Amino acid sequence: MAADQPRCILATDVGSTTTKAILIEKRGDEYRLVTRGEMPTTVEAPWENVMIGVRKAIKRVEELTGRAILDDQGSLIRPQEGDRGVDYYVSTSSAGGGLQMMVAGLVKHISAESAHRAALGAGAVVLDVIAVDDGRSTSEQITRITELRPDIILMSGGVDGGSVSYLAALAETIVQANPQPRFGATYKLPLVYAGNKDAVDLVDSICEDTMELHVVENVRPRADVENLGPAREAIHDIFMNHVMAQAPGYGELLEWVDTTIMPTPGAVGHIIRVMAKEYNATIIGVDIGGATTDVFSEFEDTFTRTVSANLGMSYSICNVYEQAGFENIRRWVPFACNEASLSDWISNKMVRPTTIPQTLFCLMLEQALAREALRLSFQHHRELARKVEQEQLSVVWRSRKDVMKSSFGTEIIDMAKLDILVGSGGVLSHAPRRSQAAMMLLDAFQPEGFCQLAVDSIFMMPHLGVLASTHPDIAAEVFDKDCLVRLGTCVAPNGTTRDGRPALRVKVTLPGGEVVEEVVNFGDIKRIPLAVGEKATVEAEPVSPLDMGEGKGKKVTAEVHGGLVGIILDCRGRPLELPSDDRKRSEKLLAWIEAMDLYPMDLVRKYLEESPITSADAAQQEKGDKRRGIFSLFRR
Amino acid sequence: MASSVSSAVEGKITLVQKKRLLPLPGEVLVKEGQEVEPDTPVAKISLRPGIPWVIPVARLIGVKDSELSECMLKKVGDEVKVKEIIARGKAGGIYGTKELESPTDGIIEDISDRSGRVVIREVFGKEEPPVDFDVAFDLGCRPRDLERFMIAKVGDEVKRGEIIAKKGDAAAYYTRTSKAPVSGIITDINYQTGFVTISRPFKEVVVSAYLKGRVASIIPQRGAVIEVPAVRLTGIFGVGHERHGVLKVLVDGPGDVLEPDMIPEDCEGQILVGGSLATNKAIERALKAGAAGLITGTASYLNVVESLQVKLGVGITGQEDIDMTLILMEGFGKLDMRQDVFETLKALEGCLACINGATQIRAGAIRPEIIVPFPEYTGEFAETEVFYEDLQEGLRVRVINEPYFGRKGRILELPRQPQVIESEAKVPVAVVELDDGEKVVVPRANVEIL
Repeated sequence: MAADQPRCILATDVGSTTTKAILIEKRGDEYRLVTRGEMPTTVEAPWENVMIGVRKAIKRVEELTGRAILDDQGSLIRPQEGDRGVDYYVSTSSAGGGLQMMVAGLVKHISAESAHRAALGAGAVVLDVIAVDDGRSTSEQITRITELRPDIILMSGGVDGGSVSYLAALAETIVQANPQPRFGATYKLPLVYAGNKDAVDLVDSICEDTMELHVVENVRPRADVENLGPAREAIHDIFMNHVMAQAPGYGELLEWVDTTIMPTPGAVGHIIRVMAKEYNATIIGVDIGGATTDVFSEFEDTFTRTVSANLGMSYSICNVYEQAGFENIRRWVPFACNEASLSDWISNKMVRPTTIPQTLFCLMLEQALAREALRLSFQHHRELARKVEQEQLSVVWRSRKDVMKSSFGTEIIDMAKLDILVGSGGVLSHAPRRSQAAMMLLDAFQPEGFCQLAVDSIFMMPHLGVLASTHPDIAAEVFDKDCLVRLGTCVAPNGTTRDGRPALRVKVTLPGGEVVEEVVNFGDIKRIPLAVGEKATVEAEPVSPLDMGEGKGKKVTAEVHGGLVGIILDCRGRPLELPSDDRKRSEKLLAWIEAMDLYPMDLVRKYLEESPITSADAAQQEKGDKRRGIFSLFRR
Repeated sequence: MASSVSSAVEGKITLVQKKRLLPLPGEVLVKEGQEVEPDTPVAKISLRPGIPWVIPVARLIGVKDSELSECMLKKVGDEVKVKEIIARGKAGGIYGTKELESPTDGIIEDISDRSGRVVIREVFGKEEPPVDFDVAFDLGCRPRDLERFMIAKVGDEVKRGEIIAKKGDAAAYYTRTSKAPVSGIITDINYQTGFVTISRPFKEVVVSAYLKGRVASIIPQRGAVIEVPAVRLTGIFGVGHERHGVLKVLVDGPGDVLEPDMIPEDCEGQILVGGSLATNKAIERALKAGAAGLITGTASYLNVVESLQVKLGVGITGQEDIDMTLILMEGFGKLDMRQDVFETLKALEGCLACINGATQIRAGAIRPEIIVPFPEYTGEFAETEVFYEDLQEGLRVRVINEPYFGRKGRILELPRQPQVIESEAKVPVAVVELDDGEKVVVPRANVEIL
């Protein structure tokens, strides 16, 4: 049957900004990517129908392959016959807006706190957290709930097997408040119940007529165990179905696909998990889109996904600017920068999201913003990537404060143990030089020790993620051969020391036996070429107080993988701190640009001459000064 | 106020319909076919129907939660008065039979055999006069000392019987309290007289018609659809909510910068129209002069944020608490308003305009709008505009990104193969001849059709 062993697969991703279509074919014994088409997403006026963008993206694939995929009526031709049609079609989607939630739990610092984190992890804006012990009377809580207009309510509380009466009271409080959803008079407000499993029937009977109940695993099945994943997944699924229900044309897309439309972050997360299992590695993946940035991590068999719903490179770019601040953006650019002009440029990108940087200057600004979006999203991810484990200490010896603290859990992410860092999304996948993508990942995530870097070649992780749900072998094969672009391996000691001092002594044994020895000073970054598919042995001896993971000053040896950038010896410090003096900062950035061959140096020097940083820098300039910096370049 | 249709706009009139809905079921105030003005109330609701009293009745009368319904003397939906007996426990026991009085006037909203609780909702059915009472007397203190003993403050919502002031913390014998005689909001504490005022405002949500037009249909309990022949324009970004006023064009052309001295003193309630950039001083001046709205090509992002004290980060606007609605037709920085848009606004000068700055730039996108109604128009409606979906040679375009931001020209060529641009990206490009004759290569993503 064609669906079981498809010869030709079409996959689309309807993003916030663009719709991407890829075609996969079986050639001989292997499945390979044939081509990719991309067109703007058509959710806005005057089109207001996502299917227009989907058809255009498919037509682009038709143009590039010479293959007919749509018939005269614009429907998919199925099954494949000769050079017409496809056997299988899957799609993902992330076109949507924000999610507003209300969270309710029994105890403020236990179940309510966990539920709050689950909601945040799903990318929601949490309007309020109601708990039995939050200091408000029941009637005040009812009044408050009535005022809110959430999209979803998450209710938690009670360990499995515990009392149910308080949960009944909490459910009644919610029902008595009769909260109304933001959208639709006939829309039943979804209530995700993630509490004591023994209270499920009771909660169901209380809510059955008024709310759409979704039951998931308890976020706190035991007092000392936290289980946020199922609640987050449920919220995210309802979020996508709810938000996507607002996107016109979605109903027709549902009729076309051969399996459920997956939300893009869900699909990317899925392929990340497949990768982690395939390579037996700890992985962090990031997908930076137009509206959202999604971070995924697989550490110690714990998968965490966070959706930073308001950090992205087009629709959300103004929010990146507002959250990061002008200083944090301009610190990545070696030229003088005027905040008024920069903010106008950023806000125009927000209202015209499909524009692309034409000049090198604009590209560097865009990549500076990307660094901040990635950094902030990762910060958000680290706060939520925690797990609560069973304490070994006797409860008798712990104060209540300690018990409360232990409920926050331990952080899972350990950058010294990170094996692979993968980036996806236009600004990373479409960076004109691969070294630019590598540097954005290094600057934002700051991996330590030995860490492989990779990007999604043409942003097809979502497509392969949804395909992996039904055809995992095909997805894994295409992922390995066509999707993943290996950039190389970063070797970065943890710690800081005085700038210019020797930081790392490295001995690299390349394939063929050639040995390269390097001494890298603190504050510098260097590259050693090592091609894709090649491996080398690296002996890295940090100079104390720096640490490669085995102790300060202790040598570490590892086999590293090559890539398009090679081996990156990053001694700029962990944590990475840029010089506070702008001239020194500019010099450092230029040195790194040159060492990593990030941008064409002739153009960089040209912009530097036109907009030099002086001691009385743009930070002290009056906003709106049109005579200096970036504005002078923009004026004609 | 000019209301007749000039030939310049006759071909642009369409039938505009707007659903005007309450967030919750309420009362519809108009009838089908009724003529309405922008301020005409279409529907209203008392958003806060009263404070809910949640009473653990089962515990108070000494019965099990599951026995509560048997012991209730009232049922859901019954009106009760303060001190009316609403529940009676089971006979027997040394304390006799316990009874519970209602603490308030209201309606029984819920009786729960699971939690043993009863919810009574106070109803604010009408505006009631504020109540003053002597708290200093209750506490036995001087009025000027009252501040030390107040627990509630101005703005707090209090319930009948709630302790709002307390003097003395030691043994209960020495403690004196003052309780609110009615439910409501504390609106005044007078430290000279020792009196506290509790007001009980009748909070209403009213949905207005927004347009000058006609009620096309009624949506029971929620509102109505208002329709009117009108010219409708959309901008690219806005802040501020629905407003209306007479259009006043302040510049001669779409490329003119709006300066503060162009804002007339007597523009209160008007919708002002600029050309390209509106400076921050012009925005501030318009706001200060009481203009209802300002429509312009562009403004500086920082100026909008600072002059109007708004946050624009997530690109969702329309609820800002500002006194003037701002609509940007082209974006940020300095861009001329499109010629045809400016000419339309110029032709509509003197007409009533209904504007809304609400913007949402993601899926389900909302753009700010300007609607100029012509309720007497009986001619044909304009056909839907044709939008060129693909660039074509010969089309007139504008560049919308650096380094040629804002410049206009005509497409000379659309090379089939992608080309490498300065950023080193390889992208589909267009060769454009700018108005000054310069030929430039621009990514196709960076041009928009004029």
